[in-house]
Amino acid sequence: MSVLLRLYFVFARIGLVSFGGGYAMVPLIEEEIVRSQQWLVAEEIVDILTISEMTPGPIAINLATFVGYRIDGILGSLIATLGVITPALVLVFIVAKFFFYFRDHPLMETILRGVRPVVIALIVTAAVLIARSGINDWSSIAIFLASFLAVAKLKLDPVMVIVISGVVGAIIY
Amino acid sequence: MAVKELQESQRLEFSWLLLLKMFLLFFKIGAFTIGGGFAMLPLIQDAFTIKNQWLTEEEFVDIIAIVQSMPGTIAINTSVFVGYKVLGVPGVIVSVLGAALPSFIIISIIAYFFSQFRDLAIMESVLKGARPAVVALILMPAFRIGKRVIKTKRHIIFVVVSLSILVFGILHPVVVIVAGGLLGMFFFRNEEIE
Repeated sequence: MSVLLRLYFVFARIGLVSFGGGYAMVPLIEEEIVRSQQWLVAEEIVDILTISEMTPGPIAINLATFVGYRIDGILGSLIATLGVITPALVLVFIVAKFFFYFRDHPLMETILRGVRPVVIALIVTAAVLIARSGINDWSSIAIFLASFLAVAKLKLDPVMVIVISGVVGAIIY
Repeated sequence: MAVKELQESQRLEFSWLLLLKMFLLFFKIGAFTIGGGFAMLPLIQDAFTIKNQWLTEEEFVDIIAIVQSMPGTIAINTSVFVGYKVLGVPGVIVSVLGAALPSFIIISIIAYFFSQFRDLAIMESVLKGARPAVVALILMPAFRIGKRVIKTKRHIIFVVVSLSILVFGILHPVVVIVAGGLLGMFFFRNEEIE
């Protein structure tokens, strides 16, 4: 099997079994890319992860693009990215198709009433996890509060808020 | 037992202009997703439920619940789901393409110039400034959803209990979602909203 085909299937498998966010992919990537295929060494994975954190974009796509590039240039990154999104594309597509049929069912509605508060908790948890590393001095607290007010009260565009706080970061750090 | 009619957004009439608009929206969202798939949610909410009424708030919450319970990453799953809901199959194609393209371009460039980018201090400072803002932004959907969903004490208990379980990493998120749904069948069965 050619390298590209193997790359596609390895990343399709990673995309299929990783639950909940790009970070969940990391142990799988280590297993597949480092141990089983030996395409990269462990330190390179750490570098890739650092760069993924330092650049915008979903981490899963960043990881796939970077690993793919290391293995076979632009074509490799294209194939790896396609691989990692394929399972989601197929599965979510099927679920999305049926979900909106069943959503009106009374039983489904009671289930969703229990699930929605959990979703709120999930979102707050994600914020807490990022805050643990991202909010650690007075200026970061100030940026946090200012951004919060800017979006909640002034209705500023979220993208604008990210850009402004990024510029502030470049100046003060 | 009165089960309130669910609010559902209308499927939009297909047009190439709309497709282009959706691609650009997702491109912008992909370019400003900093620090994982959850950072995407405030941007999607802003673009799809506030600036354009292409999704209702309830649909947005339900989509998050489902994509979290499925394999695959939040960013890609959410893009597929939202794309499908708003514009069907062509919507899926442009949403995924739009969301993936910015990272694809940026990472390819970085991979090419790897050694020089490694010690680019300015990038680190920019992101250090952006991260607290991302925390604030991620909280926005939680508040907006909370306003609509939290109506009784039971809802508050659900939020507090699942939040404690999740923050301390006691159970996997998927387990908490499924448990929430099962408990919902008992606790919210006869409840009337509004």
